[in-house]
Amino acid sequence: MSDKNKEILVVEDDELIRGLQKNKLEKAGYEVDEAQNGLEAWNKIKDNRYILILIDIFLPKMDGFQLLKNIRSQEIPAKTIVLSSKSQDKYIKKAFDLGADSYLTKPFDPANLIKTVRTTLES
Amino acid sequence: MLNFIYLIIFILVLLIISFLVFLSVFHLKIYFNNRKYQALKEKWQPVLFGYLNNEISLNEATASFNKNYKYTWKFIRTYLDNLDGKDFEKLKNLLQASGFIQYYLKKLRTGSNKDKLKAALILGKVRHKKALPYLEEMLKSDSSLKIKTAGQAISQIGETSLVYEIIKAFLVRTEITYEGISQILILYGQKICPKLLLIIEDWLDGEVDIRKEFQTSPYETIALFVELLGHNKYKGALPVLERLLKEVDNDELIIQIFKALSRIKEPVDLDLTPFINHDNWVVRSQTVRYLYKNWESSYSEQLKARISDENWWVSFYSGMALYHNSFKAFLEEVAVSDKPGSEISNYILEAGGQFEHF
Repeated sequence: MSDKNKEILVVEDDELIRGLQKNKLEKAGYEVDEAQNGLEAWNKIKDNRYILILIDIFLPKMDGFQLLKNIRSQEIPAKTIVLSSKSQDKYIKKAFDLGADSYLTKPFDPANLIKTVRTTLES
Repeated sequence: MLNFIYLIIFILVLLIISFLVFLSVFHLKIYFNNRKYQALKEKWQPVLFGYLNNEISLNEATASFNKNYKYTWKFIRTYLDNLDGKDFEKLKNLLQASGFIQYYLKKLRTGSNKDKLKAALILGKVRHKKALPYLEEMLKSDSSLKIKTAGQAISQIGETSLVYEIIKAFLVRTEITYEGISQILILYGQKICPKLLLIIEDWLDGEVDIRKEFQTSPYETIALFVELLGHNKYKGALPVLERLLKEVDNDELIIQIFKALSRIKEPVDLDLTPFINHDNWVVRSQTVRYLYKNWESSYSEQLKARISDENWWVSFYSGMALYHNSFKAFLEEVAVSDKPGSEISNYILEAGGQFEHF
């Protein structure tokens, strides 16, 4: 299947967590693509049309904030959800200022992840 | 002589070869361990996902995880760190059923020092309550590392009856900084707040002598508690924070209280005038910053006066509070005047009151 049909892009550097997020989203009925760093994500975003991008803040090569900036400056029409650890809640405001549509903290409840994806897509 | 040189060369070559053999064996061991882990990971991941998605029973999932707990830990720790809710509980059940938890509980009880530290770390992450008696015992140790690890595990498990003991052990028998203690106690979340409030109230009532009990400065200790209340945005702390402001005269503590109040975002029932006009500019700036985040119109005239404060931060937060609360016209007026606050007014107006880090 062509990458052009992917719906959600999961950007997460931890392979195990990326796999889990992908699995949970696929079980919920979404087609999911994945990227392990911000740069790989940005290259994929330029070539594909995702309806939603799930972004971890601390990523190698290009961090989540820069990725958000790129997405908004290029007016990519995708919703974005930012994921970060609880202790980094000071970054929530920054993520929203940069155009994030929603925010989730780690540790995360996968049921809540699916719920947030649904409400973000409906908003 | 020649024989002696040959002997030296022979010994050197032997040493080099031994070293190379050791290095090769070491790398091979790592290589085969990694290969084994990768193979187990490939096998375990679909089983774990299937189990978490209710497609595989607990018994089936348990059968797939072998008894090599070293690899189980390597595989499972990322999920323990990142999962919450029902999936975290399912993961715990799986670890319980596979014998993993019992194995580390035994290590915590009877293992070597190294084993005990690792077991405490693991059982804390798993939030296993049965580990608590052994962790409490570990807290009584003289080893700073053991106390820190035990305190961290208890905080993760969330056992509030041991809050006092943890703080006491950290302050009396370790070299952990206040920042380090805060980072560990944060793991409790909001649960810790009622306990901290009790200690603060006991201290205010003269029922606890913090200097004697914790062998440290009472103000710094109370400031640590206040920071945690603020971090947890604990609204129930408001009456105690107000009482502290009324009864305690310590700049560092007052600063920490206003920082906490800015995070809690609830109006205080107290006249803030003495703090807005305080001698210490950090107290003034944190009070004004609190008013920027929790606007109270009754202070607008005082904030107008503070825009010309000699300290940049006091002036800045006064300007920000006024700008964001219908006093933009006042800033515009000051900006074109030759009054002391004109520079900061221009600065805020030019940025449209938007600054990323404030």
